[in-house]
Amino acid sequence: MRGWSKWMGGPRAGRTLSHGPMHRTPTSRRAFLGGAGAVITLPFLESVARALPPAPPVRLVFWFVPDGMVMDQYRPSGDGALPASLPRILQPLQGLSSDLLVLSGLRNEAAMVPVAGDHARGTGSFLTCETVEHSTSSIHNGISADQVAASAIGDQTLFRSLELGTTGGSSVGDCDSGYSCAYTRNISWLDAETPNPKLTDPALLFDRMFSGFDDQMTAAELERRKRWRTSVLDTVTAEANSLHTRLSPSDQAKLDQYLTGVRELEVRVKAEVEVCLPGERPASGLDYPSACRAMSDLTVLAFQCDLTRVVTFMMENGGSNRSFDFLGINEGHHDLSHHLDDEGKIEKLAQIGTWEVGEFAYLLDQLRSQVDATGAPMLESSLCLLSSEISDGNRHNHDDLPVLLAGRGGGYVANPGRHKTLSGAPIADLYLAMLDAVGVHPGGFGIDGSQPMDLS
Amino acid sequence: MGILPALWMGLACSGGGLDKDSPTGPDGGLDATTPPRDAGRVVLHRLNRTEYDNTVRDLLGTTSTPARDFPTDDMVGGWDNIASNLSMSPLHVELYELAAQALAEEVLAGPLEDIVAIRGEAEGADVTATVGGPAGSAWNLWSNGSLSMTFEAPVDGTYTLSTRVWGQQGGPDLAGMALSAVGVEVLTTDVAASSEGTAEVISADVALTAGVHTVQVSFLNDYYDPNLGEDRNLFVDWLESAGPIAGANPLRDRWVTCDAADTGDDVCAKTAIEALASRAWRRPITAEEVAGLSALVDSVLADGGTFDDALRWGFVSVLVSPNFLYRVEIDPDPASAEPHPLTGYELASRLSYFLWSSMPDDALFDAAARDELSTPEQIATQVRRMLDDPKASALVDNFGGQWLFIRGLDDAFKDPYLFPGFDDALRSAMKEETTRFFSSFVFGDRDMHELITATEGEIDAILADHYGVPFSGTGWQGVDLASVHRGGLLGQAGVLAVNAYATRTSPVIRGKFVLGQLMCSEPPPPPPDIPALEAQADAVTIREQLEQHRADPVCASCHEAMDNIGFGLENFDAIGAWREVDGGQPIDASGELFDTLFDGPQELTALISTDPRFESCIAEQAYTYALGRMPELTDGPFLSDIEASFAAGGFTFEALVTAIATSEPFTTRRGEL
Repeated sequence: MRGWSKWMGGPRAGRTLSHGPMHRTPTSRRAFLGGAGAVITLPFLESVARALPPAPPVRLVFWFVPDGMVMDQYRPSGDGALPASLPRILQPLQGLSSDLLVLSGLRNEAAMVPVAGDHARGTGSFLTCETVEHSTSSIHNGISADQVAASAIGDQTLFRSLELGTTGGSSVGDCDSGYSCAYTRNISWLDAETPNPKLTDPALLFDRMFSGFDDQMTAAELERRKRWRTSVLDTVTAEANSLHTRLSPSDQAKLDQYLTGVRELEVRVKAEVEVCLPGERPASGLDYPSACRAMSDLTVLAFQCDLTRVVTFMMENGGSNRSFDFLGINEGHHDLSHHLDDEGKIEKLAQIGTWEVGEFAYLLDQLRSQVDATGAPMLESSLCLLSSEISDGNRHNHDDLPVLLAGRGGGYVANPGRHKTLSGAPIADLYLAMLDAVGVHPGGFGIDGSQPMDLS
Repeated sequence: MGILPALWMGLACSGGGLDKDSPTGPDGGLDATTPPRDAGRVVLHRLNRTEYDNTVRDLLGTTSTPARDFPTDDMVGGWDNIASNLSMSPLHVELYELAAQALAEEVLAGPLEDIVAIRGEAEGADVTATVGGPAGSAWNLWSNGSLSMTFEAPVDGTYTLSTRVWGQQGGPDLAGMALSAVGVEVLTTDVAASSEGTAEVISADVALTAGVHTVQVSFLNDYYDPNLGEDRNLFVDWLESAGPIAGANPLRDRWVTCDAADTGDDVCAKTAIEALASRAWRRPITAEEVAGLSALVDSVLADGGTFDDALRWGFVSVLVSPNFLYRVEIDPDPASAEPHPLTGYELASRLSYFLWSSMPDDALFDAAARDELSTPEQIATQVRRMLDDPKASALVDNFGGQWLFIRGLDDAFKDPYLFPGFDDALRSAMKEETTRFFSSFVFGDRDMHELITATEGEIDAILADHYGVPFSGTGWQGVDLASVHRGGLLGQAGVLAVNAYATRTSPVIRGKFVLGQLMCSEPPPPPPDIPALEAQADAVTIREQLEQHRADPVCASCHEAMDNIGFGLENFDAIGAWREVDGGQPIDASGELFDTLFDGPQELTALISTDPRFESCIAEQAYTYALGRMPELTDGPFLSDIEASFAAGGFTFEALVTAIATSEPFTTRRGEL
């Protein structure tokens, strides 16, 4: 058994903590929040009103899948309107093709360094478009696109962003050719030195998303607890500041990460409000496909409750060697991806890719069928990207990446349902376009992003 | 790995290694630039997940493991304790704060109220019998033997064991029985009842630590006289464990030793919080820090908080403090590169996190307070003491687990169609074998060359079957393994299985393991843009496929080194079972290690064990783990000294640990220019 419930002391579970049971008494005010037709109670609070803009906010989702794609079973033939029958790997998106833009020819220049370690470099730079440092004594990357967005719009929601995944990472050995494992395990980066790690347990994520709840406490008690938590954070901030003055610069840089974290937590503690009621807490110890589904469900829930507008999801870590035994594929994904043109391996890779796209389709379908607090279906207001750290697993190339962009971003993508080839265009420009859609204009991005990609 | 991986490039993988006696490396080209003596510096070290869990265990007495839910630690070089790569994200801070709340709650909880009760029906699936048979809704122990079940005690405490029994009486005595827990008899008694209708419930209290335990009811005095037709048996209806019985919370008693009724809430709370902080932060706390924590207590009390509220938020504050979450070491002059000795407290923490992956114990704190960690002799005394402590098993789990890839067994995957025998039982037996083996070095005084050359090992029935070794009885037994071509790490199924694919062996991976983990001479990663290998229809064995691979000169230089080592282990399949044939061809287990030819695993291990690179590498791996930083060129001279002491001490683990723990890089630090 994992998750907070165990932390809370087992047989004498903490009643005064924030992770109380979710079966609270319905209040007098209700709102329809979708959820497969379920009615979810929504206690009215001032902050809720603040959290609900008049029009649906634009939301960004960045999905990472490892080890590339079998490109010739993925890519639609020819540009223009998507064909009535999509290529094999995109088949699961058949019913969603009117909301889908398939982008071909994009490249991530930052990953193109002529030494080994393409999975580490491709994953580390996946959303940063910066070349990661190859060193055992430090880590260095750049801020990721999702965090550029979070820095600009994250203050409008309880969580500036949410980082999801399915696995922490293997327990022994080198992750990839002497690169720090930080690169293969994190696509979200707060700044050049600080990976923004993901939660991999859906139950834990659920608890975190709804940690402000405690139906055992009165409003006054909750307020008081908030004050005490704030006092604690003030106390440790003072300790950290005192320590800071006595440290060397590289130690100070480490402590700065801590101070940033404490500041962010303090903002959230003060802001914690009951925004909307969750559905079911996911079970602990889910198998991989169920955990992927649960993460999609929680993404949808986070948007419904407007807990965040920026989500990253790593279906697996970079260069993953997962065995898809539930598909009857026992070889490791990475081993297979070095397919040497072996038909049998390519077939298995195509099955894996189709499954991954199918999971993406599940997320999109949920976003399309469910409405947010403004009553609007969410796919319309979202931009959901799927890509990988490389293109063809056998070639380890970082050009011609497989890129899917789904949703309309509240009208930003006016005319989806197409395949568009932009040979040699930086994927950084696509990120600039996604940022543009949420009203963020950093100018350039990464080593080669200069202007928002024209998605028309 | 290897402190000079770049040298491989110059060597073009021709088989040279490092020569740390001359920091210039084997090509001798760096003589002119021999670096100044520099013991290096370790950057502010965040507790990794293992260290966090062990620290709260030792600090608070808790058995909860909150760090399992923290993000995976960033690893580099295969290590999860390298300070430079341990970053701190806002998610970390958030989870630390929630964990601290949960821990404070656990510590402050009052007397236990909830009882966990497990009842096992004697004839049911949860209860195991050594003898007898079902009899209606009971179990008939028809000769001396026992019924047992497992029970998980949620916390340390007193628990009640009960059983409902009656005897089939016969002969001069009543049926005799015993109740036991953890293999120790708690109660022995006669059973007077002679039928189910008059069955007795027999109970006894026992102190149990938190965790899974076996509880047992035994029949002690079987009697059978066929001539008289007399038969004595014990019938058991059920077996139950319940508890804990209400009592004090030992976690609370450890840190709340004052009585608020006597001292006042504020004084008692401040006393307890200061006491906790000066242990949790692994050094005495300063007046300024006392003032900060006192102010927190005052503000909680002034805000209508109770005594427990003040304690709770004070404890949370201590556990979220950077002084707890980081292993803080201070440079008196942060801008000076001149080394200075660590304080006694700082060194105590270096020792405890190296040997125990946890905080110092009372004896280390006392030694630090008395300034008795300043000479090599004093440090050596502590090392000896600490290696005798069961907490030194952290070296097996964390140092050995990462160095020798033992941890990799947890997520090793094998194709179930090709290797149906690789089930969880075999997986855990593999892990246990290598764990026991490495423990024998940590807790014994074996020459570490035996890591490779040992001819005996401990195995259980599962591994005996896997290895084809005659075996009788149960449990783990020392056996001779040389007769089945095994001995040492490279004959252990776990090491062989981790260094293989899900579907087949990989001489490349095994060769890389030997070169990287055991010789610290791992070749550089392959060049990019490797020409794609066409699958060759005529290459049947792995060796043939790889030989075609090495026909390409770009690949050849490094693959010569790796593959030729791995070939020596080709008799072991992907789950470490012995085989004579691959792809219909007899196995050719000949190969080459650093230009010396060998044939078969025994010759390979003999070559490894006599190569000085092996000894150096053991030292380098332990040094890296001990310091929590990757070695640099400038570490060469210190490593040479450590290797010399390691050798002089007979290559025991204790000699190595002592040499590292007394070395300048371990006992000093410096600022940075």
